[in-house]
Amino acid sequence: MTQNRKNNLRLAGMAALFLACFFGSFLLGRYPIHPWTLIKVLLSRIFPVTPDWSSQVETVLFQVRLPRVIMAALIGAGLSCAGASYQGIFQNPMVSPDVLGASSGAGFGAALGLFIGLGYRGVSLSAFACGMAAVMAVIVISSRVRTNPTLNLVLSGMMISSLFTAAVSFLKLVADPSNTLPVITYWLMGSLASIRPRDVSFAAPWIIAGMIPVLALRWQLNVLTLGEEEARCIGVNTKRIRVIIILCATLITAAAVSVSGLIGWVGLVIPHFARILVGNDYRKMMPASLLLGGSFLLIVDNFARLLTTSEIPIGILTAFVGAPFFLYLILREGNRV
Amino acid sequence: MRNSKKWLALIIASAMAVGTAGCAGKAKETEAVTNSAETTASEATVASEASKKEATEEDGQKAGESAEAQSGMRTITDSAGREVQIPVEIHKVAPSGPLAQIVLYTISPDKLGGLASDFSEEAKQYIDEKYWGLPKFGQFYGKNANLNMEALIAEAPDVIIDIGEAKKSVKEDMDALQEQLNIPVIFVEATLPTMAEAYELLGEITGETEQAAKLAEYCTTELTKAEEIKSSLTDDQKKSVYFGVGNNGLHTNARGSIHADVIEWIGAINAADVEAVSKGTGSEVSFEQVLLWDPDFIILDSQELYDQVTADAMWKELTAVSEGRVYKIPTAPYNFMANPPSVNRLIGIQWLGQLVYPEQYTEDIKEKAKEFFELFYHIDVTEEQLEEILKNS
Repeated sequence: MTQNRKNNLRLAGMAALFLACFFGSFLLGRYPIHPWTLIKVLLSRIFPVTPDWSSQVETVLFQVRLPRVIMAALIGAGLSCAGASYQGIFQNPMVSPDVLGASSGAGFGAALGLFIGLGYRGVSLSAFACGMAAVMAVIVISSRVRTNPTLNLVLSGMMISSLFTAAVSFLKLVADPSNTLPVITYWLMGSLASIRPRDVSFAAPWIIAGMIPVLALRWQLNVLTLGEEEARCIGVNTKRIRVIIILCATLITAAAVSVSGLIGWVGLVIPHFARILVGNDYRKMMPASLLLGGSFLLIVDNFARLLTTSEIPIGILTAFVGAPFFLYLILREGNRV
Repeated sequence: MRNSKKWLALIIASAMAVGTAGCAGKAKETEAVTNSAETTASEATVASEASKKEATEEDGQKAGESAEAQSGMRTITDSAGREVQIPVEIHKVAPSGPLAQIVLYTISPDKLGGLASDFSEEAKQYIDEKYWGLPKFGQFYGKNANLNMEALIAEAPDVIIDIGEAKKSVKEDMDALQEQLNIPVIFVEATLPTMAEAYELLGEITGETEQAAKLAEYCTTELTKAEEIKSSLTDDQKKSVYFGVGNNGLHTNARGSIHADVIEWIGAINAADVEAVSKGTGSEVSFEQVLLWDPDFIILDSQELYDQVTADAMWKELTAVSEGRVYKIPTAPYNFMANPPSVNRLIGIQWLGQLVYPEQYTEDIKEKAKEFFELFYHIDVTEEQLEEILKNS
């Protein structure tokens, strides 16, 4: 009982942290905006305030910063949600959202789009479609095998993944080294620098649509972790739940990757943070993953845009910032036990 | 044509990607990083190289002349200080990369024994059809290091020429290649300030001394002119230029990148001043940062990018965009600014110069371009072609 209360308190703390990160990020940026101006600009959307700021300020806030902050929060939350789901389904803590090929499929889709010169929207669409297609292929292939469904899913996921990765390498090989190749390379490193309102309207609905069923099925996820037989005894249709969760997690991953490029690490490690903080119960752990993931990516993205004059690809930073912190946590937890 | 080629590539990609693709990607990325570091190193050695060359060249010549009669060979000292035996008569040269390809093409297209990379569809309009089908060897250095040695040997060029900046390992690399292929390999250093010397040396190697001298003279004249204008500019005349690349204009060739050299050559300032960490080609920046820089001029490296930036309400916040000082860099047959950073930058200086400093660069860009194309690319461009090349520029 006390443990439960403690966890609820921790969840509330995470929610507060998330809100602080969200609004804090809104204040930060290369373009200096005074907090008071910021408040006035925001108020001017609701109340009639005579603008005493330049139109640049509004452009920065609503066209550049707001979409970026929203996307960072959503992608962080989405990827950790997807990671936690996959880890639950496969009962394997080493699993990350790319396990079934969603990321490498999306990466290939984007590289292909950039290679044949599709426009901005085309690249996102192509990334999204290929990410979904990769996972569909994995599901279809593994459903042909009767024995050990989980293992076969993972194995065929790895194969499809490496196939797409190789295809990306081939595209990089034949791409024009003076313009197409750097674009592909940068895209694969992951970045939120070019997020615009159109990206939010493109990806946000998918990410949210994927999160809702996962959150609703948290209890069933708990049961799944007990094992196939036990879950069936309790009366849970394991096969259906598994497919639904995989589809949702894939939807989230593909949508996130299609606008941000590959951002590794978040989906693998944030669920572990959540587990350390609130325990293994998915009813608590899933919301905790969402909040922590969102906060984490917001913070890292602030580094990505503020640390240097040019942008640092966020995919690089997530690992640089996150991995040492995670190691520290492992050591600390290990010593305590 | 271009599309069908791409689709073919895609089909091959899906069918047989697994085997071939592995290591190429890595090599490209590391190369991009090392590029900028080498710029400074090589510039510092220019002076000493030049004096050394003069000294050794004479010795080499004397020794070579006596031997020539018997063996049909002569000795050339290249920019790396290596003494290389090459045939007296050179009929066929092979470039080691796209940069060498352009420079050799400007001297003597007929002696070009093969290509490092195919001419782009756009470039083909300005390049005689007979050179399109030359065998392709790939390149020795660089982002696409994929030199096909067997194809090179099969073509049996008299000499292989590498042109560009001196990498630290250039001596070893050239020696190793020469030993492996058993074909003389010569390195010619060519940055903008050493371009004239490079042409003289290349003239000596290929025997096309007359054309080489003409080109060398052009380089010297134009570069001296640019330098004079640059030193005559006062600080308050300095304009800033933002060089947008990539698919959304938020990648830039920042200050210090060899690809953005031209901006500094005309005496303007590269607006993108980023930390050393991310110097180089295509650093990514945020739009907030571009707003802060608020450049006087914006140049973009493709028509798509130009259309995108000029139509976008967000970019209109920049003075350069709202006042219409956005330009597309001419890209035919080669990009005027860089890619590869070769002689194409000579006309780039004229082009950007007359945009940013019209009072100093008074010559008509069309006439300048016509002259340049005739001299370097051996073609007489029509008025329509010029219009096309300089569209939105």
